[in-house]
Amino acid sequence: MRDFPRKWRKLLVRYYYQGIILVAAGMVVLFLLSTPPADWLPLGAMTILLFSVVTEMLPVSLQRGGTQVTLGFPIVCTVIAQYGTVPAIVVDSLPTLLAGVMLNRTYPLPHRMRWGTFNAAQSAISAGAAGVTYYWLTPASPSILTIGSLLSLTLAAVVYLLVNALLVSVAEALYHQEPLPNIWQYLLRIVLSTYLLMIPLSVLLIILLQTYHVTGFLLVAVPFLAARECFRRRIQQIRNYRETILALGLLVQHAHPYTSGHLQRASQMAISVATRLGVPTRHIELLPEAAALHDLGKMGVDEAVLNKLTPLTEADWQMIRSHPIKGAEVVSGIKYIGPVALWIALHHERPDGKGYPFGLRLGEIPIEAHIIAVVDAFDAMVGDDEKGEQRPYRKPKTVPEAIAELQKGAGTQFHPEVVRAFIEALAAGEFGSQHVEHAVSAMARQAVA
Amino acid sequence: MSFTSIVYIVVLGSVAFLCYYALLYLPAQLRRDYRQGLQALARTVEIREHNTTGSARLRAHYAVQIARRLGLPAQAVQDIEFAALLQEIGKVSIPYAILNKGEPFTAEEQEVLKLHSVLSQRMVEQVPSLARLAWLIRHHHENWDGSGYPDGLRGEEIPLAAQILHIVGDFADALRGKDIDNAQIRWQAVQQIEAGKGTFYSPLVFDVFCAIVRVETSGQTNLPCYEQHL
Repeated sequence: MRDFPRKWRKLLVRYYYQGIILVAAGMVVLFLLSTPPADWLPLGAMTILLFSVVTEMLPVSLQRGGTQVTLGFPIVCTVIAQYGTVPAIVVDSLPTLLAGVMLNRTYPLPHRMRWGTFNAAQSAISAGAAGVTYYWLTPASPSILTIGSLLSLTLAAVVYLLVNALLVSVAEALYHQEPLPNIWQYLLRIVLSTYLLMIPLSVLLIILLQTYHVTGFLLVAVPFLAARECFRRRIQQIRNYRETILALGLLVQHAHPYTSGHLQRASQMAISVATRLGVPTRHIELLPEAAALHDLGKMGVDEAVLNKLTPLTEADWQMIRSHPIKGAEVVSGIKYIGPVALWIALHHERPDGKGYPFGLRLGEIPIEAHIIAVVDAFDAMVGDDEKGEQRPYRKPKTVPEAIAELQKGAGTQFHPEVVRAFIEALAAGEFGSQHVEHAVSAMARQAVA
Repeated sequence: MSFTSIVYIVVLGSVAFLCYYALLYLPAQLRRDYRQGLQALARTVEIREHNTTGSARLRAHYAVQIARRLGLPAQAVQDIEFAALLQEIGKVSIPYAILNKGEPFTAEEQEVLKLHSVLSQRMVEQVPSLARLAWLIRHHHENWDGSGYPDGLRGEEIPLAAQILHIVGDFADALRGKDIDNAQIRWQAVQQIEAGKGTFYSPLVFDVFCAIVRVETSGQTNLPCYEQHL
């Protein structure tokens, strides 16, 4: 998606967004015309609508960025089976619109209106598609507990999720300039797996509705809301824990956790490069920790050796070579960031086998370790004059010099693919605009050669 | 059994489970997470200062036992445990050469080493969720007779938690480079620091500590303390 010129992309975003809203509006009108109002406004649907507004207002964030899971999905499935397509569209899109506009107050109102409308429109389309699928497969509406109707409910749910994931991922790819396959993979893994688990919950809801009507629904509502709350708290807890450990880990390395632009930049770089290389999302989530804590092992090395200006002795080298393992030893004790220890242990390995501590070769080293190596090398070369980040044994290089150095080492010292992705990300201005020109000219030189 | 009663059982059961999860499981899980994470970061000092492997866990283990025996509330016990893990963390800012030089130290080197309690305090107080421990860590080298550092507090002026941290800190120090899993060696370390009772350490807290180690080590030879019974 990033291959489009900038102007075109803007137009595409706008037309895509308006197109989705138009399609949704047309669909709603069509359905309203084909169904008399008395059929789609029962008391039960209204109650559910209210409940759905409430659940939508208490979104649960996943660990990455701002992506939020709302548990409105089983409700939509239930409404489709119980009341029909039009109530399902209303129950799905109206709360989404309200929540989109009223939550996330940090964004300006026009932005919230814009994306709230878009989200409402795309969920209306998804719900409509699911409803059509369900009623196309089950012409009459018999009891829910037959194989046929369970199967069609599942199929309708899958259609809902696929349509939803497609619409959202195209929008995100256009908006964030990320490659479409990455987002698609991300949505399928996280959203699909979480939501498919909720199909049994929908079946339970439908049975209760058929037996007790609205009362049955309220019977489920209390544990349902409590479960949401627990889920939310647990995620919050893990996030606080990771923040605490990260902050303390940075302090231990004499870095200021909240003011240090250096480490923030390093983790931003690592994330961009990893996204371009299609690294699995669950690993991308751990890269900030990896970037921030990769040199923790240097605390176990005499700083007099690290800062030495005279040639190092064999004993000095041995001490320096031990730092990735020492760092990994510390980090391996920290919960929830398991794979990071391995990357830290291997972040000084080289594709040509001349790295340390093990002298592994290209195929034996995880890509994340290569990413840390490149980002670390670039940062170290460009240097950082705030708070004495410069290394005493060499002068800082300019950005073009650093890029040339990375390209020279591609294949021997650095993973060539990682270097290429790094320079591309630099050229796209993902780490701030100041390096763009140098990176673009480096890419041009390479293309000529 | 009717459908209605099954529904009620399911609903009530899930409510009970959620109550358990939110009120008991989540807080306990949070404690376990933090304990592991802080133990891992305390390891940073152990890779820097030679022959100190396991000392953070040793300190935490005895600090918890003493605090429990003194009847402190659960929240205080937990704070003391975390403070015991982090009390030496400031040593990452002390030059490697001085940390690993060993006795005897010159007067200047001693002054530098004494900075570690303030350095630890500064580090810990910058992390919002741990800032409440900073004050305890600052005073973990105050002596009972007022000859300690950094503020020269004496007697009951020293926070009780800091009195505990002082004893377990010196105990772990006395075991530096020795086999900490050996019960007899641990008991010898207690006797070695017993001279400081009343001058360096609060007599009451020291007696409690002494009793705990005596019970734990009597008739034992091998006594790993890596399990925390919380």
